[in-house]
Amino acid sequence: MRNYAFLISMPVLTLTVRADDLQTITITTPPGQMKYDLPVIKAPPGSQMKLVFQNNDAMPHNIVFCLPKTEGGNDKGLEVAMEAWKLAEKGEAKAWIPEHPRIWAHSGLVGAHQKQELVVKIPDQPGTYPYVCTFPGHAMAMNGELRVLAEGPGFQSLNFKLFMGDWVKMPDFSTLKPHREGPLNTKKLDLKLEGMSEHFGVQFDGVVETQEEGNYQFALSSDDGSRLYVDGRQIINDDGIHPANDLKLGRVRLGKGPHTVRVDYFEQTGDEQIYLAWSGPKFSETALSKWIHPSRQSGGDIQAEERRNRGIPLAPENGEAMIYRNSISGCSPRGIAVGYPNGVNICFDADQMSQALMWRGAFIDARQHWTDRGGGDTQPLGFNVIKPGGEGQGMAVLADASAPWPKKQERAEGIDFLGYRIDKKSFPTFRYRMGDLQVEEHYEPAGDYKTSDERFTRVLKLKGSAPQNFFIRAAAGGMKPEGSGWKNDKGYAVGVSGGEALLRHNNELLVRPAFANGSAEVRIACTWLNQ
Amino acid sequence: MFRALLVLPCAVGVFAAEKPKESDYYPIQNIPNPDKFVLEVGAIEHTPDGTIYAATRRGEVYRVTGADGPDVSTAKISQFAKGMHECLGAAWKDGALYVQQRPELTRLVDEDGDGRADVYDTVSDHWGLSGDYHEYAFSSRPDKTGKIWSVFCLTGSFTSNVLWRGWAVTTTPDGKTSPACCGIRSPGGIGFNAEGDVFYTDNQGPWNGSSSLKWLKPGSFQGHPDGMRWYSVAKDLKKPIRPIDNGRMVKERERNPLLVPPAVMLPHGRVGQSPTAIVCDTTNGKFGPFKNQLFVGDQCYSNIARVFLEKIDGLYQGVVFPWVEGFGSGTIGMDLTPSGHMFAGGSDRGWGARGGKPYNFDRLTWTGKVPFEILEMRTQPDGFTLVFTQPVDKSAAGKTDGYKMEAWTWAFREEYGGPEVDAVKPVVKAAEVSADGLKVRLRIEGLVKGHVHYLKSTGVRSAEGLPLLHADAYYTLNNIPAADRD
Repeated sequence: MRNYAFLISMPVLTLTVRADDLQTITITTPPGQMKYDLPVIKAPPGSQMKLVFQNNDAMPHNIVFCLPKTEGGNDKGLEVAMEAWKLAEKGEAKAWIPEHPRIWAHSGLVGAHQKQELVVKIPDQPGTYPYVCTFPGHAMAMNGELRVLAEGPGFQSLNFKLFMGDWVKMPDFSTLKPHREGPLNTKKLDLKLEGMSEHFGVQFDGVVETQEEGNYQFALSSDDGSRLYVDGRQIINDDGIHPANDLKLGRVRLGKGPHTVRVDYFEQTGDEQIYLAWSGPKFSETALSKWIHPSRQSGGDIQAEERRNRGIPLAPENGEAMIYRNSISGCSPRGIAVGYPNGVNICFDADQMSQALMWRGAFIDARQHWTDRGGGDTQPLGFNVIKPGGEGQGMAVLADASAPWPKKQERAEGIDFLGYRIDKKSFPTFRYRMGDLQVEEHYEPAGDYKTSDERFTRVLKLKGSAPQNFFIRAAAGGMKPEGSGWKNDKGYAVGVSGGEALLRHNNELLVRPAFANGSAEVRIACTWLNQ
Repeated sequence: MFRALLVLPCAVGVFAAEKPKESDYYPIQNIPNPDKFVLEVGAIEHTPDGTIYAATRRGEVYRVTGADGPDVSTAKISQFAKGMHECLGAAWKDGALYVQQRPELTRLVDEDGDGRADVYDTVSDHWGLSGDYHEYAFSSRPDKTGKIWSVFCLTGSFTSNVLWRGWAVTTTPDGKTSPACCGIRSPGGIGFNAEGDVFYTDNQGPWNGSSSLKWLKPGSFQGHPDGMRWYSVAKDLKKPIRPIDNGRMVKERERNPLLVPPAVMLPHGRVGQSPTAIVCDTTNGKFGPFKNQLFVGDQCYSNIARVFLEKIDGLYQGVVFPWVEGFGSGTIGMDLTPSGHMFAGGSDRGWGARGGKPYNFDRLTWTGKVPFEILEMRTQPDGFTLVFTQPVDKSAAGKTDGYKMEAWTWAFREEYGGPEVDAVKPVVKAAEVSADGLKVRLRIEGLVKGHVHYLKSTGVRSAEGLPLLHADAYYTLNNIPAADRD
């Protein structure tokens, strides 16, 4: 049993000083998900950490750091959160922070789309420290753990073989005669072996010892090429001519005891660098090289590691809609997603001029597109995702009312997208044109996710003339009559006004707009059914 | 890695104490960003009143006031537009900002004057998009006729899966988009020279042994054949011959008259590795001595190179010099304002950049001191004429052993990139200094048409005893003139 008594007397820190040189961790709350984006954070013992707590949710949250439970085990801070609940009517004024000996740092109550910064002194004792939102009802889902991890061991022994040669790819050192070889007394990878800066290669052979079986991660970066082998197996290949920009990571499961680590390295011309580090179940990233990679020079691995794992959730802010254009799953690459403040989200397809998607809750996580090269489709972040528009274009002129809907083409035939205008709340009105017919399409959100009655009406204003068999497709299939409207077993209901609704044999719902004096206004009301 | 700038070996001992640095002439100043906006700058534009707009890879546009004046620290930045899809082009015209998004060219207007755009009009979206992450789209400012040029990267940077991938197109103010040039691979930026001709940068890869600066002569073919399938749509354009694999550009262009060779090769791994934006100094001296020259950014090397162009027998050719390095991230967007401020910004996302930061947005201002540089390198029938920014030490500049030349080319081939091949060592036979000390005529034996000629002028000193700030020059000799030139 560890003794945490010394920590209990530590003053509770709620500083808000600015200290930009500190290691910074940002924890956010994705909208509508009742969780912290970081379930685990790591820090070295005794360090100072700047914590930015950004609440992207529409509800208030706090973050309370707790000591481990005195009896042992990880209760995820529930004991402390239960104590907060007892504050009852006094809770709001106290930001739901109870008097409790396990609390050693905490934020205030941070309102919707607000943030707070605090400087936290990390405990000196390695261990797992839960953090939790103590706002009543949140703690079960909204918690995480701070792992205070010491540095790990370095090499037990390390030898080098220095080779000379002009290579653009890793040579096979086993076929070459070393220029010089011997032990490295510093036990850290080092390229300053003989003052050489061009046309050389080094093979490092070392031994590290693990204290327990588990998953270990190695990080390697070099200028120029390098390869890492652990127990004879290649873990990382960073061959070729390149600067030491990116860190290459490799994970390996290791048993308890000694393990061989081999690094092959070569330098052609210009700069030469090598960084190698490892981290394990009980220790944070620990350098095994003399040179420290710039991204690791302050505060260890935490920031980069967490940045990789954290999303970039976008949410409507300040009562305004949020627009996001990129490749969204279920839409063409010309999707325009809109998140409305009441929790309604839609995606308009600017290729097909159709309503590709509707969903509830959180809007979009931009991490897929806003990190690295940004390839691939991203999924809507929320739930109850429905594809009302189906495949193909959103409006068409048919030969007659029973003719099949046109097959999907890469671009909707004869319809030009003209862009959109946004109003004061950033709500967009999409504009497009089909021949002489001008269309303006906007969405009117209603209700609210807090009362689970969020819904919307898709409004199409048409100007000009349209042939007799011009139709808007309100829903691509699966519709059945229900009361005065229609419902879909995928979980949504539709009501139509401003035109003649036509439920076709394949259960798609078309609307023939009712034109008067060269204009029409079709309103398609959409509601999720499982509310 | 090979550094873009080699330390001048001769200079070290003698001038160590006073060896000039790039920042003595063009210091890099950061644009204040107190709100910590994520400025993954993809394009920069200015308005006549000196407002700067920076469009980003995250699809946002930032508006900066006070940045085009003497004190950049007073600049104020605010968000002008957001929610767009990767902005890699920006042009101000008639009170609107034309932004190149991946799927469309968009006209942004702030109609209600609250500092944020409320009109997002689609000017044109008449090109294909498959959803592949590499389908980048860059656009220019309006050309002489008011058209905006866009260049579209190949799908995955290798194939033309959808319409106009691997093409340059033009869009008129009323939204009519027409094909202009085929043969593009993976562009990084597009701009004009002082005459208003259009250039873009293409990146090393198939049919591009090295990255280069290319002239988008209307109707021309730029070398990568995969976009050729769309000549079935571009019926008004003459179709080139499919190039022969593993030849030489200098031969292929004789066989294939629509093929325009790169104006200036940007030797891969020497001046950069991933060229991007192109801006021209039309400030008439407000930005220093490089009147009408081009500046080309590089994403990987986080630097900017300088290009002097000339037109010989109907083709552009010229020289690239290393110029300013040390930006915080990978240069992507650039602009040079009429008042003489160069703006540069970018990001390292996806490819890495030397700068080491995830993004940057900076300004370069000329301090008023003239650096000792080779201002121009002009081709001659038997060599080159070097024009300097300041008079040379005639004795030093007149010695032939103060110059070294190597020349090479790259195979014109389908395989990715390629080594420098056909290397030769032309010999400097005479170095004749002009009476005013501003020019040196180099008479050289062994020039090779089509090769890049790498001149290293380490022996040259200014009359004041300074070494060249950049002694390396890479001249792409597409044509050798028949007669002496000025």
